[in-house]
Amino acid sequence: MSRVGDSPLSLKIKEHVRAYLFLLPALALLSVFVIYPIAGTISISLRSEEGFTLGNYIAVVTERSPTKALIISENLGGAPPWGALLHNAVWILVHVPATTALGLVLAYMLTHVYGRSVVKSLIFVSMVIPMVVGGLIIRFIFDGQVGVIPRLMGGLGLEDLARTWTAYPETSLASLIIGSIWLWLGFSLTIHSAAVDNIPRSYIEAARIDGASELQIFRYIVVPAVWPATLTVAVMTLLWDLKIFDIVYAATQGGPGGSSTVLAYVMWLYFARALDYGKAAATAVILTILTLVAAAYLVRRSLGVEKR
Amino acid sequence: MASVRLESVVKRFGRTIAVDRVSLEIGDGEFFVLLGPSGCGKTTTLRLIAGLEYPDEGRVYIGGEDVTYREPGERNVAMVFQNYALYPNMNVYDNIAFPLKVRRRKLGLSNSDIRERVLEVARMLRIEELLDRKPGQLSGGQQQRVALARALVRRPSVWLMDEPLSNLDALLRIAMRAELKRLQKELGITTIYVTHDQAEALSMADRIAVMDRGRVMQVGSPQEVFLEPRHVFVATFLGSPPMNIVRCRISYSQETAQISCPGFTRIVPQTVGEGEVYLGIRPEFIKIAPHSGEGALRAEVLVVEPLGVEKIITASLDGETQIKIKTALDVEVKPGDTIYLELDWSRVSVFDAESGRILETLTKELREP
Repeated sequence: MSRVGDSPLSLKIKEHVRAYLFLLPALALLSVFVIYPIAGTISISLRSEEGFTLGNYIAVVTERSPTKALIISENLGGAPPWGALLHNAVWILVHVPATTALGLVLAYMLTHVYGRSVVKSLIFVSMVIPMVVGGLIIRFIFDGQVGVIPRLMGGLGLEDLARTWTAYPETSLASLIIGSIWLWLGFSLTIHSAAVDNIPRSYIEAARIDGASELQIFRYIVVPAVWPATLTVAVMTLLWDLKIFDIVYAATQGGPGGSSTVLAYVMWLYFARALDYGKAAATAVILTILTLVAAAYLVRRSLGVEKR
Repeated sequence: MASVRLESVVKRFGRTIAVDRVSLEIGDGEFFVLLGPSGCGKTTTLRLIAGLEYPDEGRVYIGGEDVTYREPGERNVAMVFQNYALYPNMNVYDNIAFPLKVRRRKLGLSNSDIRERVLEVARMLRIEELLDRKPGQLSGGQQQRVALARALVRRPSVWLMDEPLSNLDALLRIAMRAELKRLQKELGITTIYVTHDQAEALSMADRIAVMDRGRVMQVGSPQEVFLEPRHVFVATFLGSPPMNIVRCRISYSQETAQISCPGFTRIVPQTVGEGEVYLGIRPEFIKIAPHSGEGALRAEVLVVEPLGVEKIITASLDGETQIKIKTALDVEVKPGDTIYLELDWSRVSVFDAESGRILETLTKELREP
């Protein structure tokens, strides 16, 4: 009589059972604090007076009031509000390339500078301060009376830009985006600096001897060498831009007239102002799905790197 | 093709002097080796020639032109790095073509010119079939060839190499040694080669500069630096095992001077001053005599190391001073034996004990039969 426990298949099963036993405590915690709330949110978002429908989603997407709308197509081409979702999109389109490129260029330029660690630390401070404080600082930077930027614009004779940016729909979104470039630059710079420092010095020296100009060295040697870091920075920045809430809340409250509102802020309005949990949950689900797409890429990439 | 000249070049890093008043003249088409232990300034000297460092004092000339403060890219030198420095994101073709591509406009090259020249060097180094691979997919020896090709493709007037063979395994290194030398002679490119490996230096160089602590101790042909060291450092750095150095005294007795070493003394015909000296003799130039006789030194065998075709015997002269002897494999001695040694006096060198410099008259005197 052969013992069942000896066959390779049952050994494999045993192995799996043991693995899940070890995972059980963590799984239990995750179920209570992550999986259940997610399921709950989805369920709330689908529930309305008529039972389970997509009503909340349709309502959220077709909302037309400037403070809560996701897309206001009729304003396109003119000044904001364009709708929260489009604000996020514009934010990403401007912020991600700007922060990534600026951090990369600055990181390489700083390798030529004496006392670069001081400069790096100063820039990194923006990463350490809480985002809410960052939002308040943005308000001050763009304040018509005391702000640096309006003063500068006034000095240059640009009277339209010499006022409080956050108070006008034409400039409020721009002020937040520019401010966020400053806030996020420390991260981009730090990651890129580490990557630049990792480039073997001989690569750059070989290129210099080969007669490459600084620009060619940057283009052909530095950029390819730090590309993985650049992708990471870009995706992280993109994720942050999708989820952005705190600096909007602190600096403009999405205003004036919804001209700087974003997805997460709309969700918060439904949740905390309108007390409409169904719509808040629907907005949250939309936001999560968008974020997951970017996050999935990041996770897959980091797993791929580990495999190598 | 060009000659290279350094004029009392000094390079400091903070308080340390990496290169200390180095003057060198390297002839057109010469294979010149900078040899020395790590930290002796040989790599810094090479980098000064390449333009990767600028000297604090002195001047650098390439082909008669003062290039002391010129950008590395404008010196028409090529360099092979120890780690090859192949760009990992480019394939072999693009790596080799890089020096031409970045200066395409200046050189007035078309794409097909570049292609032709890349293929030409690839053929010369037998790496044509590797052109579309990435450096990461190549073996060490193949990467080495690609690095050499990249250095050659722009037809440099000076070829600089910083320990290019040190990352290869021993067998390949010996094969590459011969190939490098053949290539250099074929192309006639002035080559400056940095290494800490004396076998590389002796086997490849037309002339060697032995460096220590930022200074050039001696410049000469491999044979000169091996047989006629100008300094104790050169004597003890070259050779395996290196030259035996024995501490001796010179003293007077009436008309003649006498050099007394541990275990033996010898009359020196002419008075040559007094004091401590180092007597140097290479292990190759000591023979084991069958029995005691005139001029034979008594010694006791301490260690015997058989090394394939030869043996290295470590013996003690007076219980303290140790001396190494290289003999044929068939010499039968074992530790504890008493042996008698004959020095080839025509090969000895005597150095000043304080400065370490050669004492020429005394050396000549001792070498006279």
